[in-house]
Amino acid sequence: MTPAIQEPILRVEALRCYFPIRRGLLQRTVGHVFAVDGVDLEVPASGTLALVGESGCGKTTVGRSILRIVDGSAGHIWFQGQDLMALSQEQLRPLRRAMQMIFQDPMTSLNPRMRVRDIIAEGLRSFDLVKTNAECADRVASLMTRVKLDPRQMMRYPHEFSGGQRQRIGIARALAVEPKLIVCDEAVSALDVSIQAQILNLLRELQQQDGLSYLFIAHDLSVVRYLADWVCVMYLGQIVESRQTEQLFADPAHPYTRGLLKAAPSIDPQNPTVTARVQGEVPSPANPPPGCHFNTRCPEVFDRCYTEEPDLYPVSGGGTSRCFLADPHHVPTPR
Amino acid sequence: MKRPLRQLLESCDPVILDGGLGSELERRGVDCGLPLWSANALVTSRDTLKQIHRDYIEAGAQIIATCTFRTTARTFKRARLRDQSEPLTRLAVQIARQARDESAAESALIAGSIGPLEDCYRPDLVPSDAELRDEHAEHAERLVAAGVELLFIETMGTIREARIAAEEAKKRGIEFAVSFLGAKTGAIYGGESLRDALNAIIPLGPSALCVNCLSPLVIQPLLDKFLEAMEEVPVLSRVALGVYANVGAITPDFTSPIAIEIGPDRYADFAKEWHKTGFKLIGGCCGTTPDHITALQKVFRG
Repeated sequence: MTPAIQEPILRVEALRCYFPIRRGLLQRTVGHVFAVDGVDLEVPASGTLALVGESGCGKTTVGRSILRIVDGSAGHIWFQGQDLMALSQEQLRPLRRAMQMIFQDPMTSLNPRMRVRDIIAEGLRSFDLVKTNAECADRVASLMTRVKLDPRQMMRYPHEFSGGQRQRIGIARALAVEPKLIVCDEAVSALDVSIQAQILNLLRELQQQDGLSYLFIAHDLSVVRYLADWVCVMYLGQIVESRQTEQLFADPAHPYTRGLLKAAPSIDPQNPTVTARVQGEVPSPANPPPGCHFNTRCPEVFDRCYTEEPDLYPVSGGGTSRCFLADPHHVPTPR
Repeated sequence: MKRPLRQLLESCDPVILDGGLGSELERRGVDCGLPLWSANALVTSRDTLKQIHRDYIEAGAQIIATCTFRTTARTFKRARLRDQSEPLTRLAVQIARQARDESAAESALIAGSIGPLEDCYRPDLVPSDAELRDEHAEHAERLVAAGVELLFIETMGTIREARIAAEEAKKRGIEFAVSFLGAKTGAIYGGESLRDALNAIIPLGPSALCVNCLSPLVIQPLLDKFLEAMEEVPVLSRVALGVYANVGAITPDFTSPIAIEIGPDRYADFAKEWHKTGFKLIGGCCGTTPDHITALQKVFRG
């Protein structure tokens, strides 16, 4: 469990998302893709939890499960006192307004056939939050101003805006229904480094003004340092390290986190860094290696990693690491 | 149950679909303001709509989709207009049938177009199961009553909505196809995999499964995943796959929401490759014009 530094607005417990693999004439289930395999996390109220990992690690599935765009297989998602996993789509509807999402690619996540006014107003209309077209236009203008777009451009189409401006449209769209929690799914990944910083600044400013909570999903650690209070690192469907942000950057406990940190580019456009990838390929989540799932890529692997699966062990300064190196009973036996 | 699409698929490879309707209405000067979008033409520009259907049929389209993507009761409520969903759905089918009757070209099938109830790009706003079931049932019922020959459930961004719309089509004993809105990542737009989409829809008995409304420039990963997913389906359960891409993109003049980036001949080149890899229904989505369909006709029928 991630110890939240404030009272959590969202608590995820033992979330599992398994997708069956079917084969043969009778489409028998011959295995499962373990997209999310027992994830616990807490998003602090008015704070930010970052969920970080390489492509395919399951982080996006966690975000979409929270919004019930995809259904989890097991576990609990507690939000405003209710377990979202136990609610029907009908029961979920009133809570949907409180949870919004900013999607990854601003070039393709906005309907190209809609004017910006209508894109931003979609949620207002869907939840019946405006009574007249004039009221709707006023609300859209105000939202555009908040995200630093010119309201006079509300009749334009998405293709008339730059990537950064489109992501501001995506943010205004999410803000329109006055949510409490926003899932930001790789919200800056498709943007140039200089634009990333502007969008992160905007997200932080809006958080300070409205007390918003963010679940910030990213593949690159450098972008979360600035915004996140707490970071969970995911690998093959599991959390492998969960730490307060500054502690994680100062003293990463898990070899995978250390690898990601080496691979993280700087978001300072004046000071770009050359990056190195974590060595090797991510194994298939349908067939994770026995023992520690990271053992095929870990530079610090030893015998025990091939035979036992590590738990989450407490690390100094708070937080946890899923590595035997953090096991207080571990006796080092290098290979 | 009559299966005119399956019959067509047995005799033609590929089956050619029509092209964009809403974008073509806009290109011809029809105001397609939201939320009614293409349904505006049923009130303001019926002759233009009929002419577009005729142009597609004469260009070689073997299936034309009715102008019913946004004629649901929900859309009229959203527009704060008197509910005209039933008469306008009926009218849209009549116009498509008249276009076919008046066309000099060979006959085309009339497919009732069913879109997502909310904006295609908002998987988080997909209504509850009960609302989906009631509203898709109503829309499907009206299309069948008006005389469509099959239903085309299209631009679906979530499996949940596609499945419920397909179940409602199946209940009405009419042949149907389902098309998913894809994402560049190779998943369907809401993030679910095509494999899961196929597992959910194929047991309902669609005659074809398609992906639509992604640019040919970025659609390939999606098509690869689609083919891979179908490979895993037992041979006897497999159905025809289709693709109809959009050709809209950013242009410097900003004169149209769907500016044409990929011309007819280039689009036909993409289509040839899609057909080679196994796609058996090919048409166009937003931004494509009758000229794009003519180009398909030329490359596939000489």
